[in-house]
Amino acid sequence: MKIRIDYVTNSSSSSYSLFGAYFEKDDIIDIWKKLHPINNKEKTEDLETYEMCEDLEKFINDDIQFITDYDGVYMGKEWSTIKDDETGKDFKKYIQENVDKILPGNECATHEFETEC
Amino acid sequence: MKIRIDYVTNSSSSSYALFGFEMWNRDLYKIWRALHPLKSKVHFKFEEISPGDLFNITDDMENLLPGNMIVVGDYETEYIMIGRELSSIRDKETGKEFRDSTKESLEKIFPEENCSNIIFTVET
Repeated sequence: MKIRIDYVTNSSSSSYSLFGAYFEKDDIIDIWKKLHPINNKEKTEDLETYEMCEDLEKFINDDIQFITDYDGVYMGKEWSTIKDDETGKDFKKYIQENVDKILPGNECATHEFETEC
Repeated sequence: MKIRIDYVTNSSSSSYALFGFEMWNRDLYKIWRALHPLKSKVHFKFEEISPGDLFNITDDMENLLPGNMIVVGDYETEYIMIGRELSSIRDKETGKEFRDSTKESLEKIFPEENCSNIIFTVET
C-alpha cells in the first residue's frame, strides 16, 4: 500500500481522473477543418474551442466528455463512470474507439488533473 | 455528452480519484490503538502524538491492507482518505468486481465505513 502524505486543497476547483486523450488547440482546429472541408477558414477564426468541441459531438457517442483548458481539450470518460458490468479493458477500448473517430492513432491514457471553477 | 469549460491549474498539486472513504485522523488513531494495544501504551491521548508519530501509525496500517490501497493524509485539516485508485481497475475486472473487492478488503479493518467515489486534489 502506498502512503502519500500531502495537503488537501480548499480552493473551489474540480478534480478529474479521466481515461482519454489530450488535444492541443491547434489539433482541435485541424480536426474540425477536416470534418468541415467547405468554407472552414472563416468559421474557425470565429469559433471558440468549446464551440468546436460541441460540433464534434455528433461524430462520437454522447457519454464522452470534453474538458477544456487554455491550451487544449481532454476527451474521454472519468474512471468513476465505469459500469458495473464493464471491464477495465472494455472501458478503455470504448473510449479509444471514440477518440480514433476524431484523431486516429492518438493513444489514450489516464489523466489526473484539476480545474478551477 | 457533457462539456465542462474550466481552466486547468498550474499549481503543484496532485489529483486523486479513489473508491474508498475519508476518516478523521483521531478515528484512525482509535482503530490503530485497538489493533496494537502494546504499542499504543506509549501514546494514551491523541493530543500527545506528534505528526511524525501519526505518520508512523499510518505506515503501520500499511501492513494490514492490500498493496493496491493508498492512504492520502491531510494533517492540517486532519482527514485521511483510504481506498483504491479508480484507474487501477484491471483489464479483466468489472466495475462491480472492483468496488466489491475494495469494500471487502477495507471492511476487514474498517467495518463501520461506507465506500464511495472520492475525487480530490492535494497540494504537493
